[in-house]
Amino acid sequence: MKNKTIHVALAGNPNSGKTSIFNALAGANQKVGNFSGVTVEKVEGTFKHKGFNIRLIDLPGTYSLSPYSPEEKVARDYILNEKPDMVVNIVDATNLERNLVLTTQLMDLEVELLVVMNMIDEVQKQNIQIDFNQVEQLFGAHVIPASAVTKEGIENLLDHIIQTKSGDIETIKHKHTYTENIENDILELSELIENRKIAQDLPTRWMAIKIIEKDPDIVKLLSSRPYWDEIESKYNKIKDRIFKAHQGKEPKVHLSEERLAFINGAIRETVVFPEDEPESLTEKIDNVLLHKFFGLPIFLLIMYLIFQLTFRLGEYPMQWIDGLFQSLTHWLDAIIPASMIKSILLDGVIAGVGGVLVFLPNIIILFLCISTLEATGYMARVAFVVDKLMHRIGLHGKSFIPMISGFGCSVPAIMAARTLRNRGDRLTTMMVIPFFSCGAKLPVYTVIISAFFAPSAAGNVLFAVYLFGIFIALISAKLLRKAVFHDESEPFVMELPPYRRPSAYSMAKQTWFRAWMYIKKAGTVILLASVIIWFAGSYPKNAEVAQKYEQLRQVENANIESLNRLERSEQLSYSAIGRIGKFLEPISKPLGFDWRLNIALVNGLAAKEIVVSTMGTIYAIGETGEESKTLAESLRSDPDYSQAVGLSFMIFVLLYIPCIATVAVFLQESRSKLWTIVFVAYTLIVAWIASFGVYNISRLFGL
Amino acid sequence: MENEHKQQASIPLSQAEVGKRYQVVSVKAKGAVNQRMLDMGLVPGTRLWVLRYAPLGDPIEIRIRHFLMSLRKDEAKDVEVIDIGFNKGQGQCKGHRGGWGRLKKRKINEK
Repeated sequence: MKNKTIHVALAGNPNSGKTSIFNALAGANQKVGNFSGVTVEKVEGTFKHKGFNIRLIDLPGTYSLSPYSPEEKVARDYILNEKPDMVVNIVDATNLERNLVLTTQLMDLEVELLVVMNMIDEVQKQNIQIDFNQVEQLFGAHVIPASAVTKEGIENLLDHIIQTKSGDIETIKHKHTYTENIENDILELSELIENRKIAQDLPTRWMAIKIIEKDPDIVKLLSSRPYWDEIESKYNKIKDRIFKAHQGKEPKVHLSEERLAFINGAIRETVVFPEDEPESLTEKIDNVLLHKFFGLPIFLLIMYLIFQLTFRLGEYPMQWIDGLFQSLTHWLDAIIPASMIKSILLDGVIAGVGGVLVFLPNIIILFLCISTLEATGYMARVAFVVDKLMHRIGLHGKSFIPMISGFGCSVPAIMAARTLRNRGDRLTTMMVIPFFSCGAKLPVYTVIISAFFAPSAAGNVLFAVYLFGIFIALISAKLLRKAVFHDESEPFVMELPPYRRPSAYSMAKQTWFRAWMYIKKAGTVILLASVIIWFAGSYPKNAEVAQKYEQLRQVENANIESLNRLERSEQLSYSAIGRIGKFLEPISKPLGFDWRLNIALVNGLAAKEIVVSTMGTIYAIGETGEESKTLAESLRSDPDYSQAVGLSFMIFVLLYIPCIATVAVFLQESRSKLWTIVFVAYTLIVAWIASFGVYNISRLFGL
Repeated sequence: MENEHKQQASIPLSQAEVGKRYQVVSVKAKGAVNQRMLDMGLVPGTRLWVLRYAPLGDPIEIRIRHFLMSLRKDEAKDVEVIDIGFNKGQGQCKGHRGGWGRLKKRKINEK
């Protein structure tokens, strides 16, 4: 019996504490992947208990096992196809009526079922009494009271899993019985299924029930088979009977009602609620937080706080990280002799690693905020408060936080989109996040605006650029919804979970988990890309130019620093990026960009902060920052440039791929190469079209 | 009591008044929304309390069985309900239009 592996799937409603139980069981040994074929996250953990290997799969949280949403389909298909040894159903014991719906559906599947009544500490606090033995009898599954918070029952659950597998515990396999008429129908259909060997390896009884419910997946599976007519005529007979007997109800509705009636009956027999139910705290809090007049200001205040915490407070640790890498660079600069290796190490690798790590404070703070919102229950209220606005552009209320985070930085914003459970909602949100102008683009606008616009107009121009981004985001969201994800939307019918005190430990753990995933996955891609961009910007070098400057440096009183700058500027045009810039001129001319601006844009792929410094290099201006005024001056005095070019350039910077880090995170979060390519192509095409329009229209106005 | 309800004209849940109790008479929603409603227990016969509309007027927050849920007006318009008045025994709740109004004490499992 030693070293046997037990394959366990965790199923349960959203907000049932499924993930907390998973964490309590699996500890740190988690692997995140994807369920095959779909972008629904699959969290898996393996651990040992008393000599057994337990492989635990955290199925997506679902209210049911209908085939209507990707999550539900994943959960159901997993149980049907992968056939786990056991399904552990996590149930919120304070809310049995709704949670047990899923339990009855699992019973229909006739799996080895173990019911965990989670939040048992809450139940005791609320003075609700549950007769667990009776529940076991009614549901034909072992029931384990537990609490992920107090860790009560966790050990017992583990022992149970093992004892059930090794046969020490025999479960009373009890199916959920419907009313007599329905049971007869099920029996008849089951016989048909058995005789015709229709079921293959699907459970017969379940299939019969699904035929009565006219489950679209089962219909699809069977409708091409020769015996379909026979099944259909049986179905029609059953439907007519139910229709007549129950005032025109559809069989599916009728079966759901029977399940609910069974649950209600079971609860009446097993649960005693306190005689005098106190006014629930959750409703008291909702009265304030969702208040007709104060609800919106409170919401805006909370959003403002999150934004400030993430991007203002986050600035300090970002500066520390930046400073740390700068001193590391200085230190290495001093001790390593000049060579190509040194250049790769300092300007490529260390700059690259720094570029990855610098986002960490943002990610960590934003995720702490988001997991606080989720754990307390306010996240569902966020959706409740802004859904009306978001719904207009075809999105879910929960898209709001990722979207506004985009104004700070697209990287944590795209990661924040994981609060959206629906794939269509999530991908649409992720696609439009870059159009919310991030903090790194601001210096570009500042330089361009001070170069081409009067100080009095500066504020208006900047505001217009931001508004234009929001406008493009809203249009894109609407477009994507209409064209691609038209039938994929999460119904808003959802629970507003009770307010709960978040557990600091699990929040810290989740946040760290996300941060670590970012470092591991995105880190490698960003690092590689930074090194490539560094190479492309430095090589090949032109030997003649190098020689010319070498000679100039030998001259007495030569300003070495200025010469170095001029050399870098001249060499840049010979480098791969310089060549790409020239190569791209035919496409960029209609937007008013010459090859020099192209170089800045290509370099800007690494990070938008680099756009300004690259322009500084091109124009051979010293370190950017305090001297960016001179950059503005040289842009202004350049006869090739005009206000039209400036506007066009800002619009392009606003809309095209924010940076390599964003693309890496998009790939990590969407887990789809195709969608990542679409993302890159879409932002580029939109940027080109918008800049083309802006450039030509402003030229019409003589700018 | 059942007969009394039948005589009353039903209204869509999207037009329900805050602070009142209703009983579901029919659900006409389709597809995923319909399934979700079934799974949440929003079926004919279920009683619910309308707690509030969101500050912008949509969605609606209701209390059903032992939990709070929200749904868009667009989804709620397919749920026909009848008015079963304010919470019995507790009189009317005050200022139910203002948002502060709430029902003082609720017995969930009424016979």
